[in-house]
Amino acid sequence: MKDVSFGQFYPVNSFVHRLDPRLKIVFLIAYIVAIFLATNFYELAACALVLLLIVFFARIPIGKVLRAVRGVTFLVLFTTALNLLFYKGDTVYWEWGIFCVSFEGIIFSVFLALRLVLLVVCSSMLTYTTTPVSLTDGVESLLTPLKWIRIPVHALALVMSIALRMIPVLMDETSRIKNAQMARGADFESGNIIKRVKATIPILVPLLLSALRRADELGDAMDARCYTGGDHRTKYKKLRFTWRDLVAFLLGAALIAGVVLMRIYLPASY
Amino acid sequence: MICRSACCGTRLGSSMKAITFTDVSFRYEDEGPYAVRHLNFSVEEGEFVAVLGHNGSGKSTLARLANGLLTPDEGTICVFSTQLGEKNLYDVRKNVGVVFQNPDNQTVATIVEDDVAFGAENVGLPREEIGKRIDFALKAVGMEEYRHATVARLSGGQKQRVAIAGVLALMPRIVILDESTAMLDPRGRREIVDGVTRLNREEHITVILITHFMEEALLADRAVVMNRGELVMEGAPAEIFERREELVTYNLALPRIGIICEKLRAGGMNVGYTLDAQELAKEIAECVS
Amino acid sequence: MRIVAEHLSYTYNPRSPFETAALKDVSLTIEEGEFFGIIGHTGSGKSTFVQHLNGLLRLPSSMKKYRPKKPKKGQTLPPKTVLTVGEFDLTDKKTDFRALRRSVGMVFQYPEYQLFAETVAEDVAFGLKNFSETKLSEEETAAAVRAALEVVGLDYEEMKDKSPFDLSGGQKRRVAIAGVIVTRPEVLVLDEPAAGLDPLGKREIMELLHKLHREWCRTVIIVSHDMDEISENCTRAAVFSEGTVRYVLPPRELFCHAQELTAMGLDVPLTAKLVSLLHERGIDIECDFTAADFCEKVLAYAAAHPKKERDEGGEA
Repeated sequence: MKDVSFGQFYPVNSFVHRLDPRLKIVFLIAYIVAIFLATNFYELAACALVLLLIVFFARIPIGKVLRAVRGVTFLVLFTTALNLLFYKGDTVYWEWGIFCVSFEGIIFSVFLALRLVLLVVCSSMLTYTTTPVSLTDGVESLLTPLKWIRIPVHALALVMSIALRMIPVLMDETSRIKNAQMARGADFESGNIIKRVKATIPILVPLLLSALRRADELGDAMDARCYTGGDHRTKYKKLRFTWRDLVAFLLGAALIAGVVLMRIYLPASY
Repeated sequence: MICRSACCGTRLGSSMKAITFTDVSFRYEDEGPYAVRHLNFSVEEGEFVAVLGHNGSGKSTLARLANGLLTPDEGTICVFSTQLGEKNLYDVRKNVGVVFQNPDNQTVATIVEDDVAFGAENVGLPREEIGKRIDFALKAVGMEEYRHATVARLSGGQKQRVAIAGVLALMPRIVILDESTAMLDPRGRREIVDGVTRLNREEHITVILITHFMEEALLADRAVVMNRGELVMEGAPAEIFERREELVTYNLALPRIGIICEKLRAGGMNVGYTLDAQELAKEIAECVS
Repeated sequence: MRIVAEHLSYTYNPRSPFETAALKDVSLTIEEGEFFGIIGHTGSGKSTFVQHLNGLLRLPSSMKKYRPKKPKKGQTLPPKTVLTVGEFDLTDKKTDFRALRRSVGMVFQYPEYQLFAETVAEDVAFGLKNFSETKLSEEETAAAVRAALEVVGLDYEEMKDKSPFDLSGGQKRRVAIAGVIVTRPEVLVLDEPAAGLDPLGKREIMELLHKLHREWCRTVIIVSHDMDEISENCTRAAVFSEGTVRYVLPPRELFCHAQELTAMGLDVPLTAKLVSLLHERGIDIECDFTAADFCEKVLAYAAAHPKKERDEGGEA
């Protein structure tokens, strides 16, 4: 019943959904680099435009995108406030002790807030448009070189996928146990920090036991379905690089190039 | 590896044994009580067998022994003509699919089709073949339209059907349901029992249904009752249910319809033991004018 | 304690894509002293309803905002939501929810999974310690725990120092129930108390609930999807479907609505099913619910309509 949709897959069939997850992961990294390379509003606007296009092509409703931002509202406001009050600019409007609000400060904090919002939106676009399985497949494939230094990449990817699968189950379980203990008079909201930490024991112990029991049963179920590790496995969903991926790759490369070019040729002003 | 012990000899001309337990004993802890004791039990290929027993009677241990999740302390287990041993576990498991109790603890993937693919991927099948198997398995349990659905949003009965599909993707010749209906509501239970009955009748898969609900055993070809790790009763479901006093001593309660039959008989009405409401109504009607 | 709900609605995740109305304008009164049943499918709203009874789900505090004092022109004021448990008014934010939870015990599905303490005695005493205003002496605690364990059919001396995790499934469930009733709540609510048990375990749990109803808690409310369980145990039952209450009737009358229940995807109790099957064959027996009553009536019918070929259809 409860909504457990943080960063969860949004099932529609779109251009972006069908892209190779590896490309999406690489693109996300490139995009983050681009946001941090951007030093003026033109460049940031270019990044935002690209992101808007992605949202459009991914057919994710704007409301859903904003929900992702809502989760970090506090963080954004907090950092904006800090920058606003501590940035030492030249055109000072107001000053009090160590605090000062300046024109440059306002510009800078708005700039940072935008950056943060873009960062959150583009990361959530990855999880909205990529199923956990293809996401883990993508990570596994990108990390393949690590196999040469004997890091069990397949096992790590499987752990990640099972963790994603179990999140809703364990969240449900947590709220059930919490309700049951509250019905027995447990109080999780008052008292000092030590009291509160102690109060979580009646939730943590049953939760841990249940997680262990689930792990045990899941292990049996996997054994029963012939799981023996990653060696002889095949993959139903082969990651394939298609024309779509090529187009997306070119667009991504153009974006990064654009930001770099703007840095070189446009005057560095706001 | 061809089994050499007497139990596994395939008799030409008669139907083949799917699973044979010969004098199998097992306990979870050394010195602890036996979960299964000197068990002799076999299932014919294509048969639908119900295993009944109260909680702790050893019936679940049976399922875990049958596909090598547990190794017997004594005795031998043969699946078709292969004796279960460490070396052939993997091959045996391809033939013996087990569906467990908790619908939430059996799926590894978030999306239905990815989970169904898991077993087929494990045995290294080519991609196209896996796709075909997913089609087959989801169709067999009537979940085709949920292929791209999120497992977490399904009902308990639907999750169990996905778990069955995940097992079917390995094309096993035997499917064991280890109390797979215990945590479901009546509707979910019906979905599962109807589903495996169809598998047995249409796909000719050998089915072993482990349960503590007697009414679920009705559709089976044969029912066996376990108590304290031993096989204590065996026969057609209707026969078993007629031996009421015996069932009670094994802590098995008659389903409500059985209680009604019994009360009517005690009141002098000549009705047979049946667990089917239609049948009982017919019998009552025959007893009155 | 009398429980009164009027025009109760509840929506999960309001104003979001995942918005689901779990309760729609539910009105239901449960009298003191009843053994009340709530039936419905998974997702019918039955669990949401009972979670309101001890304030685990609260009425939205913003409710007043949606309820204008004066009706707009041409509109009537929506009916006022009422939810009271005894003297507790749950629509009032100032209600003492701790005191409420003490009076309304709640046993969740699979309650054995909430056990956490090192010993059985400690686990059972958890609620007692949480709810008591003053610190209880060891003797007082021990006496209360002993009484609770004994009423659920466990031996105090044998159990108290055991780890709850070493017990059998059935024992664990009894310990968990003892942990709820130890504070002597007036109302006891149980969500699927017999889930996952074998038939014998089910019967034992239902016997325990009747014992608790006689000796311990004035009102017992069980939530279930098993029609037979409800029909054989409850004084009255409410049928939930898609967030609304369809019927509130004694089981005897409830099961005369066999067709409607089937349409809701619910099972009909076995006896009701047999009555309708017999009706099709021209045998009319009054609609009834317990197995014993049903058999009595069939035998009486047989005695009144003996079969001619046979000497006596039913000798009784």
